[in-house]
Amino acid sequence: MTTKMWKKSAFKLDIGQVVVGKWHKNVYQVQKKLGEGAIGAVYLCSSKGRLVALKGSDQTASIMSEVNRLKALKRGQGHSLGPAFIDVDDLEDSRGVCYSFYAMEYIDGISLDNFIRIRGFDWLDPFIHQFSNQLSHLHQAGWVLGDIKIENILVTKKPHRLRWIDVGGMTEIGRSMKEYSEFYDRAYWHLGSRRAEPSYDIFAFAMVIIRLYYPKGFERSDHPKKKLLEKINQAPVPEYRKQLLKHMVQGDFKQMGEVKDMILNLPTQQTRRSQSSRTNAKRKNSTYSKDIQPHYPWLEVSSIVGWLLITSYLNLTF
Amino acid sequence: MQKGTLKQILLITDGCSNKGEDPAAVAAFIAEQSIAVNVIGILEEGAVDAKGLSEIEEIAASGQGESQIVYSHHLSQTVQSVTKKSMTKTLQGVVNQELKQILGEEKTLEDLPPEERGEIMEVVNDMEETCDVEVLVLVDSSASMTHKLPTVQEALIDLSVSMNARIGRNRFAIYHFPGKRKVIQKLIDWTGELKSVSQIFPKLAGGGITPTGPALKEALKAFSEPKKRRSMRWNDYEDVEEIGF
Repeated sequence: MTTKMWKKSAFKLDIGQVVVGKWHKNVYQVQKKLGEGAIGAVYLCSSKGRLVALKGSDQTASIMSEVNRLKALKRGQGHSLGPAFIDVDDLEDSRGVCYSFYAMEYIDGISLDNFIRIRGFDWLDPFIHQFSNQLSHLHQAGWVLGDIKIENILVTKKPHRLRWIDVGGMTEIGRSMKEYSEFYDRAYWHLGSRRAEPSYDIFAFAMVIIRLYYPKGFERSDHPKKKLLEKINQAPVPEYRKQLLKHMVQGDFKQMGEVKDMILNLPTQQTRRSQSSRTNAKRKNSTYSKDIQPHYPWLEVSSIVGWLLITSYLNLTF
Repeated sequence: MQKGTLKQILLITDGCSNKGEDPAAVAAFIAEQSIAVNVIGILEEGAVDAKGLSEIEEIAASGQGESQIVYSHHLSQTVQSVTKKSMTKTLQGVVNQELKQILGEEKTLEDLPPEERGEIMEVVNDMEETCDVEVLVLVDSSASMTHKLPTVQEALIDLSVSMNARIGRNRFAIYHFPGKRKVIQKLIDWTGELKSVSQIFPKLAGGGITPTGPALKEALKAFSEPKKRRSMRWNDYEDVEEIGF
């Protein structure tokens, strides 16, 4: 949640600090801070010769809930989407204050919006397909991902795949959503409840796609649904994707599989345009504010190679 | 199995009390009746009122509830997160009480190895989802709050949307203070659904008085059932015994 707060989480580690778990005695050396949220802070650490992400907090209960979710993610075959669980333990600081933390797989990548800005919207359909596929596995296992938002999605390097980095919102189907963010929350847009259903994730995922076209987001008006549909119509989106998004936000799809099917049944000329992808990307870039674009040498692969990767990926998952 | 009902007061204010008894003392008294007192302080962008801030934290601490300071823009999410956090806290309190009986004094959730703790958290989460909840919302309607009331209304409707996605039942009542003739004035009687309410706050002419303490005291009376010392008991959740130590 992005609520502004005065009460910051007291969990703080120093660069170079060595953390030894109270119960399991695993050793973690702090490399750098990755981020901070409502519940706690996340640090990049090295442990047993590999990099891990370590999330700690003074709120033991929240940490334990997230650990339970990470473990469920593993059972639900969603581990290739979210981070793999490694360890859970306590840390006692010099003042005797106890914190809880867990270690999970470190997912290295760049944010989805940055990736699309650099590489172009041609990547979107393969990504939608991949994400839908993995989400439907998770749904079949009885969970929704919840709190799907652009900040929580990363694109990994090789191969380019979407990964998920925050399990705080994962909720068992039929229960009330654990966490949500207004822009991505269907109840905020008066387009459904906050009960965990596959369609909740479908809505939030549609909002992620919409957010790519409106990087700064937008607020609802007195007629939230009308406003949202207007925004979809006004976006520089191909017609088939507009239709897809409209179905997704209005709850027409009950299962993630239906989203996948729609992507698969797209006319080929609309999805496969590899030759013009670079120029397209450049043209679309101009509609964004003139942010300085970060340089990612690993992204300088020709789009042909990119397409080979996608095609091989698609072959694997079909 | 008789399910327990969690009771909470949610106080929404923007500053310091200036009349009547100490609100923190009243909150401590209310907490004794197994009703948690949560406080949300709404601030203007850029304004920091140190005295108001510390009072807000103190009321919630004595009331065994949660507190949060927020800019009015972020109110909706804060209202629901404070309510849910407070539920977790209360339920964890119940679980800790029971752990003490099993494991002896001075033992709490934190004294268990992480794996066992995780199992207990699952039980707490189950309770959170299924228990019945009563929330009495007490809104400060002094002059400085008047223009924030539309945001408060939106946040409260949003709270009922969040809460009603749960499996357990909910009841909400809304009061404001100070009332015209009474300390607190009822706006909405106990109801399960705030979504249908179009106008929670009629035109309220706010004055300069903020009698937070007396208002909390009156709010306690608005909880219908007779108060026991602890309204939630471990026995209310027989399935909890399945954890097995």
